[in-house]
Amino acid sequence: MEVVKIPRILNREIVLLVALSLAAFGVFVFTRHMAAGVQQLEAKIAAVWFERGMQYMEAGETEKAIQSFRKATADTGDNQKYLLALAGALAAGNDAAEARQLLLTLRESDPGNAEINTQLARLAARQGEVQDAVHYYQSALYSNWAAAQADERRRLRIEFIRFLLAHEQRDLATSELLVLQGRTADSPPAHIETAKLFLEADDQKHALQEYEEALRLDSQNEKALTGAGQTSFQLGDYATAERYLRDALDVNPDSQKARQLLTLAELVQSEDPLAPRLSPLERQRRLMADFERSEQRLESCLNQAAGSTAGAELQSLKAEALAVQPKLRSQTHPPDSDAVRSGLDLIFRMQQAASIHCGEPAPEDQALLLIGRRHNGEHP
Amino acid sequence: MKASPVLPLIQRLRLRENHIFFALTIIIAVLAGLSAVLFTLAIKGTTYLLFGISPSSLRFVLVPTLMSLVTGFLLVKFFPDARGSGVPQTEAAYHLRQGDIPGRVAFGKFLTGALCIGSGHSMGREGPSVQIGAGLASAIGKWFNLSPERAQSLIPVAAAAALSAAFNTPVAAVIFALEEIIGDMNAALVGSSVVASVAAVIVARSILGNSPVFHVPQYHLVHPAELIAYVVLGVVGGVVSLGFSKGLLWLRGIFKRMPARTLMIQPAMGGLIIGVILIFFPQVMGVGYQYVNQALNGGLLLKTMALLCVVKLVATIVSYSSGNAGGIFAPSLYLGAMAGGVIGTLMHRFAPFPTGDPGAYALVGMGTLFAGIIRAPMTSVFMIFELTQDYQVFVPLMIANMISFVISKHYQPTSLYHALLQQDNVHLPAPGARVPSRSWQAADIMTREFTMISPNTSVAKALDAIESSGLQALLVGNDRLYEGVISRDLMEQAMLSGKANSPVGALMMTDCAHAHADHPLEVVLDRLHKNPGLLPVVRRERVREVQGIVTPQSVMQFLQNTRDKPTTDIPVEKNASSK
Repeated sequence: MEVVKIPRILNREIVLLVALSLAAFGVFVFTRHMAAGVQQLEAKIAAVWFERGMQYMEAGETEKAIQSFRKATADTGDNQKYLLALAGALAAGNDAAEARQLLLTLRESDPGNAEINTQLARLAARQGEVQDAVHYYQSALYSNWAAAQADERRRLRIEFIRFLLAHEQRDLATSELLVLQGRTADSPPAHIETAKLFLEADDQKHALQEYEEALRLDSQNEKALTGAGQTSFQLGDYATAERYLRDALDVNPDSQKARQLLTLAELVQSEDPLAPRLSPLERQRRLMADFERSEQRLESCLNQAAGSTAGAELQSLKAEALAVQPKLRSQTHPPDSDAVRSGLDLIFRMQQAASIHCGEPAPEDQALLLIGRRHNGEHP
Repeated sequence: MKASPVLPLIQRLRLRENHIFFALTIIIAVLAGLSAVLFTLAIKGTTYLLFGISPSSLRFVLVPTLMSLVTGFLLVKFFPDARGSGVPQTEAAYHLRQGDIPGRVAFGKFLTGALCIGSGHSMGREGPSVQIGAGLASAIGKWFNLSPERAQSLIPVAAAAALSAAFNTPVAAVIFALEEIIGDMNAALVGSSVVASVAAVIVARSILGNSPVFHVPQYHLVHPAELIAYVVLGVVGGVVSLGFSKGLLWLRGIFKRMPARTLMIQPAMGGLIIGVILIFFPQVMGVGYQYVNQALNGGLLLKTMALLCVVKLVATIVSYSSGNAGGIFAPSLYLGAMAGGVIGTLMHRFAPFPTGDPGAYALVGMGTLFAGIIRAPMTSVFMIFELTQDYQVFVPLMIANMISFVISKHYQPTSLYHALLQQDNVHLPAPGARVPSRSWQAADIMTREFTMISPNTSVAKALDAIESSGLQALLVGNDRLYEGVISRDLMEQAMLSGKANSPVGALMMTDCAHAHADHPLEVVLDRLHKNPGLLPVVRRERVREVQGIVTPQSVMQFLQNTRDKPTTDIPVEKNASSK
């Protein structure tokens, strides 16, 4: 009988290997459990430090806040919320270099993160680094935003536009404003805010559109009515301005601003000799009335400025006025369109000189200045 | 009777040692990796448990002091091999005891290491992780009754795995095992170490995630002239490394010279000093990688970094020298980051050429101090490269590292790990001597029978003894532990000057050369020539213990006996290292 002997040692090795493998698996499970426990503990402690940091920030104790945020991030180094809070505190504590370094490190791993780019943009804006700020603002605005963050994004865009306007970047600001206009929430305050930004960017047409959008939603909105009136006024559309301003005063009769603008709008319309559909006589009457008023103001100003350097300029204007006067007074030959324009030009120059040398003009004089500007092509 | 059909299957399952070794490599790597992760977690847990969220000054002082009393007791009574880093002990076990590490060492290191580092001592976790992993490997090797060579081979494999898991740099871990533990970059264990390192890092990442130990900034060499700045960093790194090594050895020497009864309270003495330091500089507590991160990312001011560099240096020296359990791997990186950050900031402010971010200098500084203190320049280069994953860092890193390494080596020829072992009377073979030699060795030549006289023996009696031995000198000491050597000339001079009754202990030479059993013949002859006719051959792991002596007569006798035998026939003593 053949007996096959199996060395016992070899069987023992297999058993030991299997036992060790099982033990290793057991230790692995235990270690994972322990790691989860320690990580939870770390997260809990980090949360405590984060809360303390936020409280210090609210109390204005930036240094303590920085220390707290540092501790919060010590063991949870990849927690973006804590790191961003630290960066914010560092920036507030005038440690812009570290804040930037921290944010740039965060940005490396998540270049499209709106929050990181926003903080970098604000940091650059604070440092006066316009190009960097524009770059980060744009990165922030054109990254992925959740639908629920639409308002936050809109506010950031407004912040960016204000930054651009403050740094004479009017073209970029207008581009962003047009994007903003397309995404403005359909509410009167949002349209009014957008309209104001358009006004800051010297884009009265779009501003008026936004005011009108606001009025479409709320026809009695005083701010929108006043804004629309003011914008129409700036555009030289005094009739429309008068309409909006009257409505604004109906809503709020105490509005001084609306009343002043309305007065001016009415005066411009009633004093303008080049207004459409006027008879020749009426045109001449208005021209003469405007001329005499301007002459009187010049005369009065000459008396005030006698002996000063301004006197010569005013004298020269007076001499010019005296030369033109007989021609304008002629009843038999009412002035033609060119004569009216040259008369208006003289009126404008007289009013302008008087305003420069003799103080604020009265509403009637202001109206004459506006008429002059209107017909000299200064209005769009 | 017909054989059972199961038998061929069982026969196929018969495992050869190669197969067992390969399977063990993976299992040990997993276990070493898990032990490293658990050790890290234990340190964190202990820290939170002992210090809470915002500790008071009293707690800062009491925790390290009281916990060091506990660990002092444990280290003296139960785990004497668990003091310090663990890397030199692992090296000693690999080179001198064929990888034999008692099973209790791994447990003791885990326990005392977690308590020491967790209680605020300024020490690192990597060295202990290496020793814990190696201890596990040794124990498992014993269970499997592996051959001594195989069991020895498991040590660097486990070391690579443990370091890989502890530091999350698998390539640097392999190089560290080869460069530091084995001492031979061409060792045959490269394959096993790589497998182990990869297995361990997979395990560690599956538990802790794949986030790196440090958040490293993008590296840029802004201007070629910046290399000059890295030369400066190398010089500073060399000086700081030297200061750290010398200071550590000096203070440890003082602690070692203290009476033996103070051994148990020495860690607590260190703990008290650390406690006081922590009140003012809590940033130097424990491993301190969060502050390394801050330095790397420009989060620390120049003054803070300079202060932390000095305070961390002092704190680590105190913690280590007083006999606590913990490593110097992490502190060397911490010091490097701070020193690099200081140089980087100064360069950034004052250099006449554009320079990179101070964080880049902190990064290179880490490698620079590592090269200067640990003396593993290849590991340091690959470690930083693994952290940055950027080739641009290579040139500045190599420049700074080599300068630091050269300065440190010039003024402190023995590496810190080896010098620490020498303080414990353990002499590791020099790197060149670790390659197995086929030439004659001291073990082949020495005479195992020798006379040793007590230091209290009178000169007259000693002279009688030397006359009867026929030697030119005698060993002086007790129980095979020698204290010095006395020559015939010295004894005769003493007799002539009327000191016949003086004890030889007062006359003996204490600074004689010695050899180890694995030293080659040329080294033995050279050292014998320097001694008065007698060369003691001592154990590497206990340098006062004499294994035998070499005399001119024994050399002549050996040569006469063996002149016709081929070299390879000469047996090498079993208990002496074959390397």
